[in-house]
Amino acid sequence: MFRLLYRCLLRLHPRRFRERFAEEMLCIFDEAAASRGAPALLGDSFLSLVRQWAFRPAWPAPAGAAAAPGSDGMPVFYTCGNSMPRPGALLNGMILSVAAFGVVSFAIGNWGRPQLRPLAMAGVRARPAQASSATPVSSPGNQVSEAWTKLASMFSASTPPADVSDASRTRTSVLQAVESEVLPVLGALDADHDGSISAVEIARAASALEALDKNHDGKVTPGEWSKGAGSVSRSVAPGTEPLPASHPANRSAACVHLFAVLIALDADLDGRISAEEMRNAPAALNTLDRNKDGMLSAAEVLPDAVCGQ
Amino acid sequence: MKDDFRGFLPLSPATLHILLALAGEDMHGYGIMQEVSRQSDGHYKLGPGTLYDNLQRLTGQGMVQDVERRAGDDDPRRRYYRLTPLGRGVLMAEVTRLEGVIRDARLRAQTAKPRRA
Repeated sequence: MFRLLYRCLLRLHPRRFRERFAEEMLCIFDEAAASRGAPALLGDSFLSLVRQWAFRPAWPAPAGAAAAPGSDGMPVFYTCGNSMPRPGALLNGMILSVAAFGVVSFAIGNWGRPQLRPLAMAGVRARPAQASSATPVSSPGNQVSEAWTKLASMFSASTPPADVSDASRTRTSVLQAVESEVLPVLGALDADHDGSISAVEIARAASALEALDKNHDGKVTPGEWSKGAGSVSRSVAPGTEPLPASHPANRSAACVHLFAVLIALDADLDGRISAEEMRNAPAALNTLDRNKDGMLSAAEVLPDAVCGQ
Repeated sequence: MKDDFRGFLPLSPATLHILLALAGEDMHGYGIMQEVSRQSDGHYKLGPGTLYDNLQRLTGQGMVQDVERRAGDDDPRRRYYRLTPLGRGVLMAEVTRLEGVIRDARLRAQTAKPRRA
């Protein structure tokens, strides 16, 4: 591949230079690629290309060559006007510029992504939580603090979790899942909306989760805490038939198992937080306190902690 | 120093090394690159693009010329280059100039007076 690229660069050189030296340069590439490295030779060829087009517009005249006399015996002198770039040179220069731009764009697109990803994600702003018209305004489950949304925007999974059944979920989808599945729960637990769950808030986790139980059936389902799933405004009355599998609330249940805080709260991993699990919420949340400081920070509850495990 | 040679001075490092490499014998391009690296103990390495850009200019100026391919050479793509009398004269002029620079530098270094603070 390097040899092919080298030949392409040689092909872009001015015709006279190419006809004169291209074969020799290719011969040297074949001999020196192993010792000097093909990338170094490619770089040298690229610089040569720029040099030839920018600084060597014409083949230099032999030393001592006198100006040829005109038809009347007077010597002919060439002015600067005769050194204007040839149309072919301008066209080749334009092609070279486009090619260089394409190479740089390709390099950034394929090899610069890890470096550019934090910059790209810094521009992502989680949508502020919008209270549904069918839910009480005072419901803490829908009040997602700005602190958590800002922190969540900084946490984008490097790779989609392997246990997600939907293989086409993209990084953006994971961030959206964080926003819809995790942030409402964290917003409920973080009573003072300071971006962390204090020891007092951990102790009051059971009552905070009970506030999410909108149909008062003794358990909190993804349909009740999930934002944007479309089911928040539809209260599921006790004793009614379970929602169909295609319902957005059930689809979001798959995301429960993605996030540490939901995994901790949903001890039996049935996609719902039962009454007993709500009562055990303080103890479950304390298991997430990795640094044992009595409180839960964003790093301990947001998805990167899961993806890194 | 002939006026004809003075017009080409001072030589760039690449030109100086190429002329020095050809001063001993005719060489092909890769041989020049290897000789330049050897002369500079590996500190100065010519790439093919830089080499042939200089060879193009030196050939145009008449300091270097192509020679016929040597018999028995394996690769038919190789071309050999030879230093012309003009090139040899320019090279010697540059060496003389550099000798003067070194001489002045040593003289100044020996007689340097301490500067007042």
